[in-house]
Amino acid sequence: MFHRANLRNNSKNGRSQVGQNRNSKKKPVAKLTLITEDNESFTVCKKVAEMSMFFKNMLQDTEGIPAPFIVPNVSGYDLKKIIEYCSYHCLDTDCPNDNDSLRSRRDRKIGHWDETFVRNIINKDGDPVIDNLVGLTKAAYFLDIPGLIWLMTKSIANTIDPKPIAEIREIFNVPVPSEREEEILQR
Amino acid sequence: MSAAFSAIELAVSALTTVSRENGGLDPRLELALAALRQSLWMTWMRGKTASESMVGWRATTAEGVELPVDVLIEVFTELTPKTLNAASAVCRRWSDPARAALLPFIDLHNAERTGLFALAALIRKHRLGDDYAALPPTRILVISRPGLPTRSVRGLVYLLFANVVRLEINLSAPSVDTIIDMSLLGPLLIAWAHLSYFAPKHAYLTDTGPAVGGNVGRRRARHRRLQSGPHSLIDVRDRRISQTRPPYRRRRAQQVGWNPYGSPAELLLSHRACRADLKGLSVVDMRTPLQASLLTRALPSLTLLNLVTCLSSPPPTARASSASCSTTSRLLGCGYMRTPNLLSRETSCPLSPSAGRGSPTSTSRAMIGTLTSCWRHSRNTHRTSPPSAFSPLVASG
Repeated sequence: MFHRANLRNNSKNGRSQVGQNRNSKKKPVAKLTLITEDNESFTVCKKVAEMSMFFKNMLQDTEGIPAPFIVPNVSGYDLKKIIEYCSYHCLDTDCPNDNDSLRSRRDRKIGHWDETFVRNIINKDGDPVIDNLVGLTKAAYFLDIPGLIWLMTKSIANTIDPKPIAEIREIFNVPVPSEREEEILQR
Repeated sequence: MSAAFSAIELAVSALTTVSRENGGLDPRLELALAALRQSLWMTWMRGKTASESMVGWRATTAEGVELPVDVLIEVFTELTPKTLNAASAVCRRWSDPARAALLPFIDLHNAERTGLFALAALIRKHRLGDDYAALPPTRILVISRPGLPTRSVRGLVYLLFANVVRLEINLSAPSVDTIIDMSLLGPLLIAWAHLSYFAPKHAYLTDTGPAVGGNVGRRRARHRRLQSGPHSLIDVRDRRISQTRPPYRRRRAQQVGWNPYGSPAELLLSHRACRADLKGLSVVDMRTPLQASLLTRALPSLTLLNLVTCLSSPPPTARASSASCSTTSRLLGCGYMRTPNLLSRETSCPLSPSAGRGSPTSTSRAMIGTLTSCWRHSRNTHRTSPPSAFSPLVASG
């Protein structure tokens, strides 16, 4: 049902080509080149890039495929994961969007693929690290991808939900506030 | 460094807000905003270490506090109230969104906390944005114990709870200590225009509290006189209201939504001030001579009615009124006739055994009997549009 675009990362020359469809021989697919803040280059097809409202508006404004576009606030790792998500969901009509009501967004369940996707993000060597999750959330927010933002916020909420203050601070490396500030916060 | 960063961030957010509100900025301000954003970006990039910017796995740095406020709001909508309480004390950046996420569901425990909560929320309203101030987000309000707001904080609470959709008063057991004064509850019900579900449980409702600027003794005397007079209570009082020019304090009270001439419960009856249309009413073990007023107010668009041990016996401290039972039945009857929606919906009106003082069984039977007869009458006459307010009561009286 879903259109799964190819994700091919050529690590030798530091360039990645993402979103090449197998049917591309029949019809040339418009592609977009993205350069991250750490000078890593990715090539995505237009359909995948338009999952992001940021790129969609940009493409509409420029009325065509612009020159290689620099994405300042997004690291290579984050963009790679974002492209992986968008390649899987680019034809998914059931993706959460901004028009959904609060209740429907809350009641929506995380799918199996998304669950695996998040597990691969936050786990490395069996240790849950939330920094990558937060970084990816910020990148998704910057690129304005509603479905990914929903998935990330849901995952962060699941991570911190039953935990007390001290544990939440430990997860996010928040320094313990001074007594006065603590008093203000408790008030 | 961090102070400058915060100042720049604050300036950028303030200018962005102004730009969004006005649909744009002066070109000079736009230029200043662009410069501030650029400096913010440079400051942010300078603060990043090499390990953070490396591709691949990120080093363990604190980024949770740097989440955008919109994302934080999204995250907090998924959390339980207990975790939200914890999140509101994690850091200053998390505090406001977490408290905002706590607002849709509020469980009041006592009056003092109500006032403090209202004050705190109102103080923060500008920090949370004008949208929050314009649309109070509280939708569900649960009063577990007598946590009704005091008179001093009522104005604040009105603003805060103006969008309440569901009100539950769930007291542990009815007693003298848990009497709810209708002079407090009535205006709240009037003020909450979106209220669609009202569920008082184990509660005594009374009207023993004084009206604004009124005298308790005089008001009670007038109430008794009106009740014993040849005309019905509502007609006489309406006539008096129309004939009398209220003094300044009373005029002022009327301007702010109060009726100084009677208890707010009577106000529910006599004036069509209630804009809300209750869709659900669940009354469990409630005792009050004013229940009929509430029910009558609620019935016109009711689709769910649940009456369990709804007694018309007065609270233990007051003397029983023989007129209350018959009045209850009449009011229930005329109200039920105005409820076409209820006929096709789930209705449960069980006859519960007596659970305390008074004569609950006879009262409940009388109420149910009136309901049944009125239901038959309304079915036979196919009455779809509601009659003019309370005319059946006047005719039957």
